[in-house]
Amino acid sequence: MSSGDATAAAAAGSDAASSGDPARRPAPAERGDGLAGSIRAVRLGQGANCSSVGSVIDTLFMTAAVGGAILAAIAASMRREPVRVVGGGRGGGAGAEPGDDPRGEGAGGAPADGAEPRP
Amino acid sequence: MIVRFEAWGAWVKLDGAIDAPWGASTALVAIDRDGARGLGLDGGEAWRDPSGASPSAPLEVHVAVTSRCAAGCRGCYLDARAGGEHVDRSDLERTLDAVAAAGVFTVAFGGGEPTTRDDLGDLADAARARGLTPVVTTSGLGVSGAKLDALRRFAQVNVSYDGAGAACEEVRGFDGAGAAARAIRELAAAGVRVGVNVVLTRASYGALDETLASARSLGAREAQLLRYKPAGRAASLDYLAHRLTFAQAASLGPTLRRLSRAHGDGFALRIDCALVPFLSADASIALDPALLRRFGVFGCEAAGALAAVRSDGKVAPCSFAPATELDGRRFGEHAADPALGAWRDAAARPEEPCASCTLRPSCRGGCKVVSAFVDGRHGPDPECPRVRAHRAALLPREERA
Repeated sequence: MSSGDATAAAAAGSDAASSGDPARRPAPAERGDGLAGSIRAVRLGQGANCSSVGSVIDTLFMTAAVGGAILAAIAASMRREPVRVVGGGRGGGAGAEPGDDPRGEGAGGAPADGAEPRP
Repeated sequence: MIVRFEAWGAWVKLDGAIDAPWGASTALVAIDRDGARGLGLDGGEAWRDPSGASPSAPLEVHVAVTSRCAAGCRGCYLDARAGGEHVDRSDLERTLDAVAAAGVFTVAFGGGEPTTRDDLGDLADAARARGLTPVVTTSGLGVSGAKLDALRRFAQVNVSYDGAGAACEEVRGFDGAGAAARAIRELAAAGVRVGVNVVLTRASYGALDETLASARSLGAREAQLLRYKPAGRAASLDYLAHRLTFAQAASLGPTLRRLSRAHGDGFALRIDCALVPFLSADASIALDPALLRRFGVFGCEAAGALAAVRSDGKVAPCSFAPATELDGRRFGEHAADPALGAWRDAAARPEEPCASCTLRPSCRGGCKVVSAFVDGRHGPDPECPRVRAHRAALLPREERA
């Protein structure tokens, strides 16, 4: 999907295009559109730097429509991909996220605001 | 897709399954429990007793496969040299075993110069065989023929490219731009997804437009901007002369916004973890910190989402940080390692002015390698514009003047 396609997809039906400040990206939870609403964080691409962790920042400057369309496309992809589970299944902390970890960002298994996935 | 359950839900890696802007076909997605259930997933043990959960494994691990490199870059964080040693292949494979078993998604090979190894392509295959996504960084020196074939086996290759001619020489101490440019062009022509690593110094910062335009014209698909860090050969007073000026650091947000607009169509722009504190000077970003979290912008993730295995086989919080005593072949014990835990704690409980900063959940106090070098401890990043303003305000009026 090109960014132009993303914009079109959003305009065609997603409620991601916020009616307010166009610079403000919609929080998926606010949008209530099923799986997309359960997405707490997205890191696009994988990078290939071997010395520090990198993050795409173009997303910070996109319109709400494009940002929403990316989330919708990701949600659709997750629904159709086969699943392989890795790791020991004991989560909750550091490397990954947020709230429920021993570092005091929050507690409990269901991330609330402020206990979002910690990217 | 690959799923790793966490107490709060799951990390999901989509590999080649999306077609997002800038050609990014992969994504790492954090979904909550409801979302995971909606996909028919059950977190099992990870969801039953999150209270006793230990720190999760990193999302990516950087593995130095050699300390050999003839480039002699002035600021090499590993102090790699032409007479450096390759890491034993069997030790590397045991490290990959342990890293994969822990649930890590991506392994980034570095060094030294990884392409000095004849078995680099085999290492990529070894990582893939274990379910890891292999990526690699190279200076580009000598990349052709068999080395090009080896690099084709990686999901992405980043070439160190700080600009053409003088810009590169100023950062690295030698003019490696020609070799890097050839490598980028050949890799792209071979169908490899290639990006560039651009180290930001006070000299290279002003040439970013030209550097990115050049990289893109050569076939690069993305650029990762890296903060110059005081590690290895750069851990000297020379660091102070090469790091970004305070005005440059404060201008990073607007600069990124401009660069993204100018180069963003089909070309991704990334920043490294150590640059995130500089975004605190950008009012629109500081006022919408949820955006950084939502789009996964990572600040200091040393010993968190990130870890490194150095060429001596020891695990480090990140490639720039001192090694711990933990052997990479026992990577699964990362959660219990006290030295790694200390780095996580420092990031989780920052002092002021980080504690009240809106960007704290993403930034996590800035670069600890920088604060350790400049201030002698893991405190707030002393080069962060917000930290500088805070410290200035604490000075007596006459000193402030």
